[in-house]
Amino acid sequence: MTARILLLAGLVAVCAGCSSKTKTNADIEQRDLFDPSNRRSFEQSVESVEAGGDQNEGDLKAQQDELKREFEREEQRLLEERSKIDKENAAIQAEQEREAEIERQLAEKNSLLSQRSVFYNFDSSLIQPEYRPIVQAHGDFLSRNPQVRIRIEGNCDDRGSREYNLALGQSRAEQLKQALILEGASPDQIDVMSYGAERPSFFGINEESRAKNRRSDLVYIDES
Amino acid sequence: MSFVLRVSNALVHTALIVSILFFGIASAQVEIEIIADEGSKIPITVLPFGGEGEEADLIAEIISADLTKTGLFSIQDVETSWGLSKLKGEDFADWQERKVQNLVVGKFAKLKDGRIQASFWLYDILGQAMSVGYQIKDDPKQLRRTAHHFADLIYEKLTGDKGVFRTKIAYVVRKTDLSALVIADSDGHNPNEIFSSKEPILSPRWSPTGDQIAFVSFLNRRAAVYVVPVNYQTGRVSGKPEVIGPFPGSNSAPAWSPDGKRLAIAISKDGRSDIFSVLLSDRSKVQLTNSRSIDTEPSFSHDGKSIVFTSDRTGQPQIYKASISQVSEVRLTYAGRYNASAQLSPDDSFLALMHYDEGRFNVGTLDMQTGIVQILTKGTLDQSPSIAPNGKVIVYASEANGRGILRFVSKNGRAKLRYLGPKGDDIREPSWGPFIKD
Repeated sequence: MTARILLLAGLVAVCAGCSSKTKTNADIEQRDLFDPSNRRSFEQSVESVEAGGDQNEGDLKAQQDELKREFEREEQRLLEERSKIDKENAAIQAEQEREAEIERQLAEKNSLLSQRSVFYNFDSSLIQPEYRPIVQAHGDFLSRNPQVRIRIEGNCDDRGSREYNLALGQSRAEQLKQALILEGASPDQIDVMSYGAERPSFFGINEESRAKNRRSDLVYIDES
Repeated sequence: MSFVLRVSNALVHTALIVSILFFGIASAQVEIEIIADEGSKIPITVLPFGGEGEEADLIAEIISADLTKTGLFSIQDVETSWGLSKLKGEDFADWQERKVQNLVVGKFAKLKDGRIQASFWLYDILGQAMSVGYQIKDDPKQLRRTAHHFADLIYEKLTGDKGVFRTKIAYVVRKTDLSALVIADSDGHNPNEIFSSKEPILSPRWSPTGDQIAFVSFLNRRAAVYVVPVNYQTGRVSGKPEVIGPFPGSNSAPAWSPDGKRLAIAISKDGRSDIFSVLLSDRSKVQLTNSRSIDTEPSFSHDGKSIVFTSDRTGQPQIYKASISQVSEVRLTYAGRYNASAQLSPDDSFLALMHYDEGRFNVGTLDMQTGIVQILTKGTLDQSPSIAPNGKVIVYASEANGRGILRFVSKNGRAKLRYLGPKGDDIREPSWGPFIKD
C-alpha cells in the first residue's frame, strides 16, 4: 500500500510540474522521479512489502511483478513527458531569442527600421518615392515576423478643415497600410487611426513645423 | 422667472442725463471692430435706465453693445447739457429737435421678493409713437439675459429679423493635455465648461431644440460621436455624454437633421469616408454618399431632404449637395482649390464655408442661387464657420498671437468683431445654438 501511495505522490508531483506554466528546468528537476533519492524510496517501499513475510509467496511474487510493470510503464510515460517538456522549453527559448532579435532589430539605430515616420505634401496622402525604402523595410520586417503588430497613426498640419483633416489622416494611415501589405505584411498585423490635426508634434506655424506634422507614424505595439 | 408683456402709453419716464456709452464694463472680453457705411445704419439713442445701482447702467450698456455689434445700428448719444432729465419719451418734438430718431428709455428696480424688475420703451420719434413696451421680472442672476431680451425686441422691431442676443454658442477650449467643451452666451459672457477629456474634442453641434450637443472625441483610439444633454436656458449640462454607435471605423462630423431625430455622420473605414444618416431611436443607419474618396462634413438642408458635404473626389476638397431620397449629387463650388466646412443658412439661401486661395484660409458665403462666393474675412487661418439662427451673423474660429479666438462677421461682411476668451483660452470650433424658446 505504501508503495502505491508513494507512486501516486510522485505522479501528482510530476503532473503538477507538467501543468505549471513556467516550465523552467529548475522546476522540473525538483519533481524528477528519476532523482536517485526518489528511486531509493521506491525500492525501499518494495522491500518493505517483501519483508511483510507471512503472506502467501505466490501472492507476493505477483504483487511484486505487478508493481514492477507499473513502475516500468510509469518510467516510460515520464520519459515521454520529459522529452515533451524539453521540446517545449527549446521552443520557448527559441521564441525568446526571436523576440530578443526583433527587439534588437527595432532598437538598432540608424537603420531603416528605426525610421518610423512618413511625411506628406499638403492635402496629400501620396507616399513620396524617398520614403519607399522605409516602407519596404517595415513591410519586409512585418512579413518576416508575423506575430508583430503595429499601429499607424495619421496626422495633418493645422491648415484646412479639422474634420477633413481627420479623414485625410485616416486616408494617409490607410494608404501606408496598403503599401506595407504590398511589401508582404498581413492586414491583421496593422491597425490604423487618425488624429487629424488634433495632436501636432510641432507647434510652430512655419512651413518647417507644418511639414513635420503632415505625417504617419508607425508604432510597434509592444513598444508603445 | 416670469415675463410680463406690458404695452402702455400711460407710463411716464424721466430720462436721466446721458452718459457716454462704453462697452468696457459690459463686455470686457469683446473687442469691436466695425466696418460699415455709416449712412446706412439705423440711428438709435439708448438712455441709461432709471433706477438705483450699477444694474440700471449695465442694462443700457448691454443693449447698446448688442445693437452696435450687428453693424446695423449707430448709437447716437445726445448732448447732456440740454436738461434731458426733464424730457419724457413722448416729448417727440423735443427729441426731434435733438435729431433723435429711435429712442430707448427704461427703468430698473429691485423687488421686495428678491427679484429684479426691468422695463423699457422704444419710441419712434418721427412717427410720434411708442412702438414697443416690455417688462420683465426675473432672478437677479438673469440681468444680462433681461438686457439681451430687450435688445432682441428692439432689433426685431427695427430690422424685421429676430435677434440672437439670448442665444448660446458652444466651442472647444484646448488646454495642455486637455480639451473642454464650453457653453457661453452668444456675446461670450458666462462661459461654462460642460465636459472635458484628455482626448481631443472637436465638431460640437447644437441639436435643433438646443437640449443636446453632439461632438466628436476619441474612444479606444478611434474618433467617436457623442451626444450630451444640456439645459439651453442655463447653459449647464444635464446628463452624461453617450456614444452613438460606435460604428466600425472612425466616426465623426455629426450634423443634426432638422427634426432632431437623426444625425448624419462621416464613417471612415478601409480607406474611404462616407456619410451615413443614423436614426437615434434605434441606431439604424442609411448610407447617404458612396465614393472611393473622402466624403465628410455633412450639413442638412432645413427641409431635411438634402445634405451639403465636403468631398475630395476630384482630388481636392470641394462642396457637393446630395439628395437624401435619390442618387443625385451636384458639385456646388468651383472657385478655389479648397472649399470645406459648409453649413447651410436657416433659409437654405446660402452656405457659409471655408475657402482657400493664395495661401490663406478664409470664411465666406456661397449664394445658392447665383453660385457666387463672397469672402468675408481677412485672416490666414479662418475656419469652422457657424451661422446664427437668424442667418445674419457668422461666428468662426481664427487666430491671434498664436492662440485660437472666435470672430464674428455679419453676413453682409460689414460688421466684424472678435471674442477673446477669458484667461487667454485657446478657443476653436464654435457652434451657434438655436433661438431660445419663450
